[in-house]
Amino acid sequence: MSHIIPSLFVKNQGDRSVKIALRLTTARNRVVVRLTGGCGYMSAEDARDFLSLFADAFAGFAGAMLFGGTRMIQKQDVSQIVPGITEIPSHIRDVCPNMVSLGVVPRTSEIKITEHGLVVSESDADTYRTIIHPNQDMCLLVQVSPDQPAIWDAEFEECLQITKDLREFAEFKSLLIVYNGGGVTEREILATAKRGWPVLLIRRSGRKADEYASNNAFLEAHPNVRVAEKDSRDIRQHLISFGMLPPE
Amino acid sequence: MSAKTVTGQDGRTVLIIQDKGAQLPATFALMATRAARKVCIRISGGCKGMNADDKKAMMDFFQIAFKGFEGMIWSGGTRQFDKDGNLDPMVTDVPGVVAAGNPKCVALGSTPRTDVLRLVEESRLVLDDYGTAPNPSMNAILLVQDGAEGKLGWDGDLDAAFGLMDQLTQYGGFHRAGVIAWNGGAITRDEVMRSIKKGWPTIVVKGSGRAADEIAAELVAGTFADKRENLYVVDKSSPHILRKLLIAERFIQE
Repeated sequence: MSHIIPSLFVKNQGDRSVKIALRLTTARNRVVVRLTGGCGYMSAEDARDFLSLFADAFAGFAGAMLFGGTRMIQKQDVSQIVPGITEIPSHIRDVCPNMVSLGVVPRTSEIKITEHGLVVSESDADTYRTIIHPNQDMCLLVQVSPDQPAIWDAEFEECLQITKDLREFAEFKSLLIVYNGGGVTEREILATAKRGWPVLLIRRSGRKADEYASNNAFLEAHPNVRVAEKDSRDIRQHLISFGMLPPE
Repeated sequence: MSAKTVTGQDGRTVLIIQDKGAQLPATFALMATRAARKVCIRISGGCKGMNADDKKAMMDFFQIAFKGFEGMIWSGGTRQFDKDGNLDPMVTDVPGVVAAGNPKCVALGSTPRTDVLRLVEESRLVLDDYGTAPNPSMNAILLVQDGAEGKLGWDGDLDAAFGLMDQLTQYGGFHRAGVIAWNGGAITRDEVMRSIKKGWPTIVVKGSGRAADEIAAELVAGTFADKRENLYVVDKSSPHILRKLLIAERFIQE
C-alpha cells in the first residue's frame, strides 16, 4: 500500500476550489473517472473480489478519479476495514502512480477527531464508523455552512460540477462508473445520462446498477450509457473504448 | 501571421468575470491547463511611440522567438482600434498571433474593467469610450472588476494575473512561469518587479521603447533597483537570442 498524505479541503456548497481543479489536471492523462455506487446486499465473496476486479481493469490508468472519500472501520476492532466501493481507488492508486484521486465527502454531521481518524458518520445502530479515507491524494469536505451540514446528494452534485468544469474548460473526457448503489446513485445515473456524458453500468453488481443495466428503454434512450459485465477484461475494454485508457 | 487574421483557436473567446479580491475562477485557471506543456509566460508592455512598421516587426520578433511554443502565453486582454475603426495591433495581440502559429499552445488575457461595459454598433462589446474591445484572438479573457459599479485602474488585474501564475506553478504542475516586457510604462515596470521577486525568468526587450529600455539601461548603469540574477535583456533585433533563452529556461522544448 503506497503511503499518501491526503490534503483536506473544506468548502461550502456553491464555492469552487481552484487548487483542487488544478491538482486534478496534474494527472498525466486528460480523463476523469467518477466511481459511484455502494455495496448493499453484497455477498462476502463479491466484496472480496471487486477490489482486484477494478485494480486489474484499471492497470495503467493515469487520469483523475473522483469517489466517495470515506472508509468504514469496525467499532470493535478498528483495524478491520469494512469492504466498500470507496476502497477501490486506493487499490487502483497502488498500481497507477500517475493518477490523481479526489474523495468528495458531504459533511452530513459534525466531524469528530479521533485517534482512528476523522469520523464523518457514526450511528449506534451500526457496528462500524465512517472515517475520511487515509489513502487518497485529496479529500474535499462539502457543507452548506459551518453550522449547516450537507445531505448525501452533495457528493454527486459536487462531482458533477467538477466534471463539468474539467470537461468544458480543461478538455477532459469523463466516465461515470456505477457499481451497485441505491437512491442517491440512481439520481447520479439519471443526472449524468441526461447530460449525455458517458456512463458505464456494471451488470450483476447489484441494485440500481443492475436495474438500469437491464432497462432496455433507458439504454435505448441514452446511447451514452453502456453496460459492462462484472469482469475485469470487459471493464477494461470499455475503459479503452471510452478513451479512459490508451489502446492496447 | 498578422494580428488582424487571428481568432481564438477554437472559434470563440470565453469571457470570465472576477471581482477584485475574490478567489481566482477555477474555470479560467483550467483554461490554462489546455496547453500541451505546463509552462506559462506573460507578455507585458505597450506600443506607445511605435509606428505600423514597428508593430509588424514586433509580431515577427515574437513569432520567430516562440516557434514551437506549446505552453500558455498571455498578456492584457484588450484589442485597440484606430479612429477609423481599423485594428491597431498591440502587445496584447502577440499571444493570439503566437497561438495561431503554434496550435498546441493556449492564449489567454486579463484586463481590468476600467469603465462601464457597453455594446456598440451591431452588438459589439467595448470596454470604454475609446472603443477598446476584448481581444478575440485569445481562448479566454479574465475581466477583473471592482464590484458591479466600481471602476479599476489599468493595473487592476495584476494581482489576479500573478495569482494565476502562482496557482499554476503551485498546484497545476506548471514548472515554469515568466514575464517578457516590451516597451510599456509604470505598470510594465511593476510586472517586471513582481516577476523578478518571484524568482521567475524575466526578460526585457531592449530597443522596444520606454520602460523596457529604461530597465535595460539601468542594468547597464548598475542602478537597477533589484540585483537578482533572473532578469535578462535581449535586443529587439535578435529574436533568435530570445528563442535560445526560452529554450535554455525550458519554456520551449527543442
